[in-house]
Amino acid sequence: MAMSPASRVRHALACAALDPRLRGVLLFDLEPTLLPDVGHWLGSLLGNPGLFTLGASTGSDTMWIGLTSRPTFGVRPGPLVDRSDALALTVMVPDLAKLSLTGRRAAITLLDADVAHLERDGLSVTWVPRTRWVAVCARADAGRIPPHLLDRFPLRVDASGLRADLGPPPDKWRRALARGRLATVPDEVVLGILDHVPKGASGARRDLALARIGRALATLDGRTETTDTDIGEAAALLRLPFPRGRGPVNALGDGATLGRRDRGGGDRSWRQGGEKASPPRADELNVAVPAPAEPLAPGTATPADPLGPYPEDDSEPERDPESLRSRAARHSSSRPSHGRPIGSRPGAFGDLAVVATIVGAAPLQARRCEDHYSLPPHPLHLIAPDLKIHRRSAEPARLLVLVLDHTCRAGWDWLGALAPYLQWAYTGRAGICVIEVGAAGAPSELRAQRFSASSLLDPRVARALERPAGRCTPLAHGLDLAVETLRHRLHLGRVPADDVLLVILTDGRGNIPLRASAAGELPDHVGREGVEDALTVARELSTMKRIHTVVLDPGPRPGAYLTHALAEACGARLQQGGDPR
Amino acid sequence: MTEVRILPYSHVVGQTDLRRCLELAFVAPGIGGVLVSGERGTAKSTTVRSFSLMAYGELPVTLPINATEDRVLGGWSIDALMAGKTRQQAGLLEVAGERGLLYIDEVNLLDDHLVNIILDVTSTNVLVVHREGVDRPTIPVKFTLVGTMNPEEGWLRPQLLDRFGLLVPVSAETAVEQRHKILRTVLRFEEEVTRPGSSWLAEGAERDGEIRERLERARARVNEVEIPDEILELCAQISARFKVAGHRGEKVMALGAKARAALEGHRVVTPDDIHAVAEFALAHRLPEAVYGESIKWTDEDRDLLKKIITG
Repeated sequence: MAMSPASRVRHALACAALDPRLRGVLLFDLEPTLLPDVGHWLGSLLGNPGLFTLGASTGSDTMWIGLTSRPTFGVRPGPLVDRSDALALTVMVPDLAKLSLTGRRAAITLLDADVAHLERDGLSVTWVPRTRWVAVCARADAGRIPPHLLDRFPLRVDASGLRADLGPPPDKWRRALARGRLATVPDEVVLGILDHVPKGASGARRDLALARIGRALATLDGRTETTDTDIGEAAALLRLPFPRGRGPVNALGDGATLGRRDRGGGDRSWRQGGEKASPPRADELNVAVPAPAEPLAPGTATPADPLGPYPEDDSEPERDPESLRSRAARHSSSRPSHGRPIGSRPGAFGDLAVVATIVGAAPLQARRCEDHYSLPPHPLHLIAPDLKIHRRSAEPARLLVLVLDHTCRAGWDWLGALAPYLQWAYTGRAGICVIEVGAAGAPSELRAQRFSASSLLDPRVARALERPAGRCTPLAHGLDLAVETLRHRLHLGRVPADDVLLVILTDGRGNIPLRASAAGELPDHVGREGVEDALTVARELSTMKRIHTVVLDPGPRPGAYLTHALAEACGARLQQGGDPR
Repeated sequence: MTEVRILPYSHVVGQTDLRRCLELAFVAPGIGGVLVSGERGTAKSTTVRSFSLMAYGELPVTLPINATEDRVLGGWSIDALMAGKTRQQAGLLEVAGERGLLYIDEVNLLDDHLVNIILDVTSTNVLVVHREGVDRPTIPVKFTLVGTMNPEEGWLRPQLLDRFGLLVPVSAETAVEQRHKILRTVLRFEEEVTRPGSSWLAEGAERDGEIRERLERARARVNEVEIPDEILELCAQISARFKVAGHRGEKVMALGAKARAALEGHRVVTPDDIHAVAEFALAHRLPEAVYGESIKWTDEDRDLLKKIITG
């Protein structure tokens, strides 16, 4: 079987259209300009061409409520609330990593829920969610998305090669959708499902997703019973690794095996539905083929496909801590309105508090329109002072990035040297990112480790400050992580640039080159390469504007020039460890 | 609204601790609530909804994380206002007080100002509404608070954590046999809901009815269950040895043990009852939990508890 990108996406969308429990579709590395076509394609299968796009700036009110003038002016449920008398809508998320906080919270609430509730602005609605979601995510960004959110998407397919439009959905699929009755899943088929799910997968969602996709594929094929083959094809659609003993087909070597054989021996290529698959690419050859092997114990799967469905299992977390929570009102990042006007913007009422506005104006209607309640229903009489906007809590405004080189700590009370910076972070309620270099017990001694915390009080920070030293000093990698973190945070605009402090505690003796950290292998000979790499990365830091950088030096020792060189390279202030100012 | 179909409570696979804690809180509402903390995809919400349907005959009053203050506290009906009339609309807290259960899914993602409102109400059992011209100074409100959360997204403020009488950690089932059983049950449920007159669902409803009767019988007699002085002393001793913050832990432990005894049909609380509920009453009140470090009930804790109980 060779699955073209178009085939993968078409099958995923058709499964989602068929079974509302598969309503979350995540397309990895889809060319963003193709998303509207993909959305329309799914909308045509659902019979509802309506699309609703959720982006980085979509706010709560836009999603949850709308205004109506019939029969009277008022508030009605917004687009994310399914009406029982309407066909399911398609929601499109062009970039899941950049989805607004309110959008993420909406996805958590609606995807994979049996029932949803809206309790906003006078509305109280309970409904069974059916809205389909099609989200795009760059595989490289998986670490920036909370696993809690990713976990809500049961259908995840690689769409990196998709170029052309998807073509019309086959009539066969339309007939299956019209019938609406899903195939059954016999017990003996259920028994084989767990063989495909990677070891360590938490919860039942992945097991269930595979079962439901297999069932949907059988239904789309016009059958009433799901087979092992359908489950295998579902696994191949997601690009799950093969259970041991069920190897990939060498499609180039044997064209006859491009299709898969079901129990009846019939050839079921992914050309079904009239689509012609393109010749397989090399990276498309690894497809799972159910063989007459005995059921295997879970955990015997081969290594994960790099284009597999669960990149978060192998990604380093790069997201903000507690990234689904609203920020409490802390240090305000808002500034008074200074400076001379240089133009105008539509703004103040883009964040209109609809209910507060209506409630405030309602008692005055009779006064403003004598016959307001006796005339046929007509809109409210509003004047400018009626309009109210939301008062919103502020984002934390400071970020402290700490690079801790544990291998320079011997005999040095770095807590004393760090105290002023920790105090700055505490009093300003700053977010913290800690990058540990050369920590004992690190998963890989050739690499630095990083974690983010919402405040200094996170117990991981104290534990990091007390951690003993290991043997290696991957300083270049630690600085590289600092560069990446700062770029990410500044790029997202979550932190005001003038409130970012980078503190590097090191003696500058990096002994692991960057390439060794990347490869995870210790080179035969290092020389000055580790130090030079650290200086090269430090120069990148110097190009980042509006960041205050401090290098904390452990004190007099041979090779003390290294910290001078490092401070100079990254444009930092050099401070002796015993001299906090 | 499309009919909401939830797996019958009696068909829920596993989750023994969670089900037991929900039942204890139903039998002895003074326990104050249950917090369910667990990994993704462990059927936390499904179990709570199934329980509510079984025990209360309806879905729980649910406070979603997108709620606004007017719906939580109550206020004016907007529709009525638009028609030139005034009609008050009860908030979720008041409705929960009438029905007995308030459920908050993803409780750790709830906005701080809503948490403050809930804390006010749960600590006083009185709801005060003074807003937008509504003036209702004392509405008696009492409900069992049930929250579910995934700790990956952060913990609760200690004050709110303390309002939950019991904490149940939930983890994913890893045994292959149990995972198969979960899969089979869910797929079977999805098939059966499409079959009119399904005998499997009818059997579930019948068994749910039996469980409900058992719970109601236990609730009716829980006040008759005796707690000997030595058991109360044991609760205090356990709390002291575990350095539990405040006195709510021992109170909940005693109430939980009483509810368990009532469910088991006993007239007197025994050390076994204490042993069965102590973990759920104390784990989130240990010093490490109060200071936000971690919430764990370790093997050492288990050994210590056993040692204290067996003397």
